[in-house]
Amino acid sequence: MINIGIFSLSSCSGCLIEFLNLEETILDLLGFLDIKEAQILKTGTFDGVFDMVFIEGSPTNEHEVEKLRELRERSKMLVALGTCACYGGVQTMVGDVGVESAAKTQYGSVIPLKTIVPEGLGTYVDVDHMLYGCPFERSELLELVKSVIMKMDYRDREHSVCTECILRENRCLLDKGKPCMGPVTRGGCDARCPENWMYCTGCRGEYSDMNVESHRKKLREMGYSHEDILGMYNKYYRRLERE
Amino acid sequence: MSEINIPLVTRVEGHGHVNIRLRDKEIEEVSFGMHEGARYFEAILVDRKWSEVPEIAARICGICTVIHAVGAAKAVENASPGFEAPETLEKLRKLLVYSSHIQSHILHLYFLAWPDYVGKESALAAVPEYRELVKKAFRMKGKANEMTEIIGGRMVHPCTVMPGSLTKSFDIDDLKRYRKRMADILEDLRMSAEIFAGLDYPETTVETEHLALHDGKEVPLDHGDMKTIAGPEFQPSDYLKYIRERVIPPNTTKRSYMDGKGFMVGALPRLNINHRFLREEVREFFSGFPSKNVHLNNLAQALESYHFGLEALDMVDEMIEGKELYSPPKEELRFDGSEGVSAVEAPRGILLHHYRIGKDGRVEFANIITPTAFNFEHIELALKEGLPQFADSPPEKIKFEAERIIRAYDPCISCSAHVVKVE
Repeated sequence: MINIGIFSLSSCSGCLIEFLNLEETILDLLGFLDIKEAQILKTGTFDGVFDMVFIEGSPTNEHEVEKLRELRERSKMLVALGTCACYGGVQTMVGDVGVESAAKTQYGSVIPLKTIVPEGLGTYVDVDHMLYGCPFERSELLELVKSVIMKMDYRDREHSVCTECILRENRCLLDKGKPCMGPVTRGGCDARCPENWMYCTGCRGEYSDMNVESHRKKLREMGYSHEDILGMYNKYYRRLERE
Repeated sequence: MSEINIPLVTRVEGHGHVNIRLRDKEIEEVSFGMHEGARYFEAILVDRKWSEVPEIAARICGICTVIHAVGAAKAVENASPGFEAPETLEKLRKLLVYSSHIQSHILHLYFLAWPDYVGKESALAAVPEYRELVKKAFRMKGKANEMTEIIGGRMVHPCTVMPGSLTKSFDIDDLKRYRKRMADILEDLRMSAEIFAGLDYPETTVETEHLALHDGKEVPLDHGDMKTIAGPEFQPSDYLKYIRERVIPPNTTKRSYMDGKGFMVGALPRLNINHRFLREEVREFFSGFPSKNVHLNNLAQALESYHFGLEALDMVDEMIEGKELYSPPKEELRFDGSEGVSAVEAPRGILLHHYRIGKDGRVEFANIITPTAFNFEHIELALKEGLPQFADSPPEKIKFEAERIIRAYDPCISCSAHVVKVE
């Protein structure tokens, strides 16, 4: 049996929910996985060593950084579950506002907890695998779990959302004037949003072979301002610096 | 004197804790706190484009993600002068919300609350004894999720919800796919109402007001006035006149009050206020409304799930019969610096979104009050009311009962980062 733990740092819990959305498949997995700790699912804690730990969310305070380091120390394999854990997630937008100013907007004069600008788990600890997306895709989670059970390699997809969108024979949303992030976003979601006529908003983040300059040029030609483009790129984490 | 601490409440969404102080076998003090990391949604929404608001607001919560997206879209629409949502759009969004509420209720009922009633640490631990029931719970949740995906494009964080539109067209086949799934689980939703009507609930009655949406016709989730059982009925845009928030030292948490008192939102308040509009088939399981026993929130969720299933089926049948098709409008929303407020019912109670959007289409101001922020004061009142009867019991029993009270509210703590707002 593989001992697993499922943990949550600052997040919406959507990736935990997506994990539970495996539905009855979870009952099949219980033949291979022993869920030792998962706050949302069961009472009790576990002090031993995890073979595999899944962490959603990103640390927004020193407490959470400590918790993350502690989990790393007693886990043989650490999986970043979803875009917050991979890159920081939407809460990284606070970096644009500045934590202090955001705290004033949200909390008034008293700041309850010293907060830090969120970053992906990899900033603090070694991460063995990343499951991208907001939320991650269940098919990729199953693929990863299966490869661990069968002791096979698991590899990230190094192609764009566009590749998958073309395979689904969709018309290009950029050509229709929509601010699509497909060309600069890692595939694996089967072009979920474009398939629903919604332009890709880049929730799965970058991949190795992307061409940011060409994409930005195209967006500028379409009439999007520099500010617009920064807003699009810096939504799920900071990908472009202000110039 | 002794203390009982629950550092992390389990089987709820997010991170909460409880401290209980005992003296001479009497409970001297109880406090409930939330230690969720701050994500500053109200600050990061400022300067974002109107079209991004539902996408970003949905990320406040992964369980009530659909209603956050729909509530945000409606508030943005209310800030757009002259906009009125077409009827078919409203119907499709309602179908989306029904499926999402059933998903959330089933998750809470079977995976978070029910294990307490059969003495298990989790629903998965109950599998050897209750395999068929747990499978049915997964199946109901799964089908509800599929319905959400048919309209919303994704189960968690729907991608089709825009202010003023859904991004894609819907035809009769989509409606039929939705219908089939709802019909598939209707009998199990009825069974859930029966199971949860048959549980033996503890008694924790808190005599304060309950607040829910009300329109005098149905159990509304996406429209209506705000109403208490006995007291005032008011427009959502007047919320600041009726709901006060304040801080009681040494706690840094902001709490909500009406007339100086805490109040409850959620499935139980919804049915206390709207039980006359429950379907006949549902009413036969319980006739005790109004009730202020917070544990009955579980029962109310089970009744609602069956009710929403029946309502959704009727609506989708009507749409199929009337050949109602939808395609997204060409024109975009316009803004002139107006404000828009929306009040919707999240699975766990009233949710308010409030925005001001400038002429350039960018957000100038955002305020979001979540149901768990509304319930925060009430949860503590319920702990104070419900725990003294167990003051004599071993600490483990007191902890168990404290967690059971908190779980009854189905709190969503990620949502309620707002509650730590301090003036």
